[in-house]
Amino acid sequence: MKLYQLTLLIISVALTQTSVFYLNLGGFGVNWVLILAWILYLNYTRDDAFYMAFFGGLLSDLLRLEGLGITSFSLLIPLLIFLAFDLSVKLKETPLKYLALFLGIAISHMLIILASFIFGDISTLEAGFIQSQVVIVVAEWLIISTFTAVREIFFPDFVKYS
Amino acid sequence: MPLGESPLKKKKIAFGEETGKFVILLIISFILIFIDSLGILKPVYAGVSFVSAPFQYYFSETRGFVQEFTYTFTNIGSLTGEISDLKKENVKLKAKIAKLEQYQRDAEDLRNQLGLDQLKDFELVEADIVGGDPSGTVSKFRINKGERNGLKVGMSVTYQGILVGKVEEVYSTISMISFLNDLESKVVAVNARSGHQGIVHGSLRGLIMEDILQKEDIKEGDKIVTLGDLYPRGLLIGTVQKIESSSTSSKKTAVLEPSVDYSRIDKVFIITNFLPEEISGVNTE
Repeated sequence: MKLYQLTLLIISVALTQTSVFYLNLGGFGVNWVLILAWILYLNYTRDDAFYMAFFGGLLSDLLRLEGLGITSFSLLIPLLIFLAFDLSVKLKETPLKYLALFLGIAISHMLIILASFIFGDISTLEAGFIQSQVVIVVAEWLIISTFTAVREIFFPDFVKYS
Repeated sequence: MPLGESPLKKKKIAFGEETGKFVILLIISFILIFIDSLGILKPVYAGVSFVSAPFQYYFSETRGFVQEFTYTFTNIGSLTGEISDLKKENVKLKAKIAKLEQYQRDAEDLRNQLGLDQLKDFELVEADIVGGDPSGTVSKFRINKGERNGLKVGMSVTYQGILVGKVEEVYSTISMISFLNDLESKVVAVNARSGHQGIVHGSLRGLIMEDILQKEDIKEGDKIVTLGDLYPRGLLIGTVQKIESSSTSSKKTAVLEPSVDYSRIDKVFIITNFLPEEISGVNTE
């Protein structure tokens, strides 16, 4: 992906993510930076995926005025773990990637909550929060895996390995 | 392969080259989190908030419009029936108005007894709630008024004359407020009927009043108001819903019903001419 294309995509996704916040969707807004980062990893190049996670996460944190770095940090950790497996056992080419994807998304959400507890201003969890987080993880997994599966079936040659 | 170089070493180098730049991004993220937790990035946030304030207002307005439109669209069939019901209700309401005028006179008498006349002396700044916590983990919300409107940290937030929270953070054009049901919220309060004091704090069950001595007179339906330390004196907080006491404790607890449903608040009023003594620097001696 060309630099200007990636830049535009990162800005668009960060703005979408911020609008989810300002539209006050609360616990029911999926993380679009996470979704795009994983879609890029599984269907495009890993460089673009990591830059999306880093810059998209920073920009969305900056626009919502709190927790700068928390989103990018929480997205990069599972991506790096996935990459380590990918380099050693070619995980991206096996169906096991869908299970790993689910675990990666769940880890990201756990890290966001944990980092917010340690460094942010969150000190307690409201009732029903865990349930809403599970719904979000499943929704994000469905979006990414559906996109990836459809792409693999109809456009199998689209993948560009970095 | 050069003589003496092992395949395992070569694989390790390739792995390092692949992951190295991404690990650097991870380290930068962690450093930013740490710097942010020290509060050094406040000026950056202030600059961003100045630029993003018009967009927040736009999103806030859009949210209201979408909610209203969705409600009208989904209820269009029942609107005709509603009009007929409303006409009948209108007749009943006229009769009720006469009763309410009497209640209003009674309420004025009570206000005088409680010393609530000072409410009229408050300078209020109206603000719309334009954002909530994205993760839904705390009872904190963003409003579209800030330092430019005279807001300061610690100011009391009211809704329909009822105390609902306080200002937590202030930027040039926006602020963060927390509601009383936030688990970190604490208010020194007093029973308006008996005059006995206690601490009201937020909990998962709603508002709880603690530190009430067993011998103190408190019963269901009692109005709880602020005592006047961090908040202006005499602001209504809630009504006693249930009293819990234990034979093993010298104190009892009251569960309060908030005077307003916090989840439905979309507009608040900030009292700008009252600041807690510890913040405003007033010497009490």
